[in-house]
Amino acid sequence: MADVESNGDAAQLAVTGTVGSDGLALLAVCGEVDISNVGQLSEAVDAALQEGASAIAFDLGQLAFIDSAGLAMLAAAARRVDSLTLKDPSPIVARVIELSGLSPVLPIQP
Amino acid sequence: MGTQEALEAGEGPPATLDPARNALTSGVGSPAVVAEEPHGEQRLSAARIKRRPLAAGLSGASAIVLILGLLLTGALAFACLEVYESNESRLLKLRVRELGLVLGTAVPSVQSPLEGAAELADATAGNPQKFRGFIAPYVGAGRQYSSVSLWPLGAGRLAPSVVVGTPPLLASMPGRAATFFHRAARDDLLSVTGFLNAATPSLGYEFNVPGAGHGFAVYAEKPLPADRRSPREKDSAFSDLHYAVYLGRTQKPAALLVTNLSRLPPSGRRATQAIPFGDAVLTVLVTPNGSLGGSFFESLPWVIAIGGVLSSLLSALVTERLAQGRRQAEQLALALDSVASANREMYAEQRSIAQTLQHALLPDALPSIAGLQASALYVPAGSGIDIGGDWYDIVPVGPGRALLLVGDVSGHGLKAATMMASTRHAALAYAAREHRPAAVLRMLSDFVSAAPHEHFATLLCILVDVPRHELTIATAGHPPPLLIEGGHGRFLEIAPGPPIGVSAGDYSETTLTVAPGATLLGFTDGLVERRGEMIDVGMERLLRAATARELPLAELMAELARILSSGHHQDDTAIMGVRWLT
Repeated sequence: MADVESNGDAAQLAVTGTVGSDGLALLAVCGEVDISNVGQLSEAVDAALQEGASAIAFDLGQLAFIDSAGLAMLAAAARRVDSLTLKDPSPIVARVIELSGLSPVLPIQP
Repeated sequence: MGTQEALEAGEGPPATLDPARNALTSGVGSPAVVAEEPHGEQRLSAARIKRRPLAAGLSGASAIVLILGLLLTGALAFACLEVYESNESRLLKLRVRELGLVLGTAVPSVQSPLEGAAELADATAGNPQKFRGFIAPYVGAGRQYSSVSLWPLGAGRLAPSVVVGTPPLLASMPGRAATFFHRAARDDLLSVTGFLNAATPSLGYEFNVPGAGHGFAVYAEKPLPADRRSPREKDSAFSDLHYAVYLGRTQKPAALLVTNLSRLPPSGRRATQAIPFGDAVLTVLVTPNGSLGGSFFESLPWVIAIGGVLSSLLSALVTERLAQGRRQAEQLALALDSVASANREMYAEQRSIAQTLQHALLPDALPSIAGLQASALYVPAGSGIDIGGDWYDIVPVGPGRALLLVGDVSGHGLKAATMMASTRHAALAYAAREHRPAAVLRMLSDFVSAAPHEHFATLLCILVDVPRHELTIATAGHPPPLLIEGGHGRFLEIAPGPPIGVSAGDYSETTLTVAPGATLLGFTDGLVERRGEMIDVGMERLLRAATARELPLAELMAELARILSSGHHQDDTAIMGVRWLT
């Protein structure tokens, strides 16, 4: 197990994560993701991939807002792993993903 | 430059675009020049701040403080000096009166031996032995008199009958003796006369028993001190005074009896007093030996003057410091202000450049489509200098038919703008070849997804058939357009495909018929998206605002932009609207 952590303060965002031996990275995204801090999320994904992650599950239970730059980053991450799923997104986030036509790319794990 | 610029179909480029173009051309070379300016200005100001106080000297306020302080000090010192002077004069007058009283009390001690001898002579008919025996203790060197003589009055020739001590000077001056005794007989006072020009300057005293015109007069002489000098007695009650005593109501040197003044007449403060002394008058002149009121009061005016001048200087210095501090603060504020204003200009210029670029990536004018009114609006973000990624296009694809495109590249900046430009031009190219919206999106998606992207683009593609009142819509993750028919609005939510650049996805399209005069508004998410709320809330807000009242298309769009992008407008927004004329 390895810790992947990233913390910044442009818009309040904290990403914490672990990469399991099965290659599944669990990344918890807390706060807001927008163009000002999307790089932070990107770094967390990079770190997870370096740890050998082949699948990523984002825990979005504490994510209050994500803009199109954040969604683009998630969509880009989806292309780099075998499987990418979202857990527990708020209705606001889920609706944005739905309207953006990203549901097939960013499947929400029931 | 305004925050909103509208493009009206068939009216050519609005005049507002031209200044933007000019700004672009003139602004390209200037940022470097502008960037230098604040630093130069800052250094210049800093140098000025350091140099200024040396050159400036006293400020007006400090000078006023100094002058007021000195004036006040002068007035105080002068008043104090006046009080001191008048006090000293008053004290001196009191002292000379005291001295006069003391001198006056000397009369009885002079008179009583003479009075006693006169009474004895009258009683003993001028017995020489008795007279001599009585008066001898008073006569001689170091005693009260140098000479005492007994003069029978009323006899023919005026001469002493008995002389004790040295022969009296008066005996050698018969004329003066006659006058003196004549005057002396008239009163019962001690009579006094002076031999001030004699070899041994002396004072002569006479006393005779009153009324005994035929009796005896006793006459005594006492020499004055050599040079009329009296040594000053340190322990005397009058040691704080210098004095001179004159015989008579005069201060002529010839009348001087005794003095301890080194120089006559004395300079400075003085007081005189006439004192009755027997039948004569003595004039006493005094000057103070130092300050009568005490040395503190003497030096008080000086203390005030020096203290006042020092405190005035100190006050002026403090005022000067304060004034200097204020000047420096003002200069600093000025310098900061100019830096800030230069920064503002720079920022505004960069922003203007960014917006100009943005406009360069938007169509100059919308093509005119018969039977369809079209209008587009681009609203830059409320702040920031990044180039946004919103765009719109109308592509005529045949008589009465056009493809409407509204796109939004995620993020800001040069990369986003580059992707927007390539996506837009690719879309224009595909639109010219293929009119089905879903097909356009599919080709575009294939084209863009070939390369990996950090950005994606949402795109709304609508084929409008004007005469048939028909819309065919496909969307690549774009917010649904708003259709307003007869004052009622609804969002045309169709199943969205993925944004362009995410994956080579499949896109579906939906065709629907609209009512005559229908209005269709396509927009980017900046118009409806707010942090912390469902996007549906923003869409509902838009719907209400768009159907609140009937407005000409361009006015309606300007109104929507004004209402919905006010406040914390963080994202660029593009709106494109079409309205069926029939």
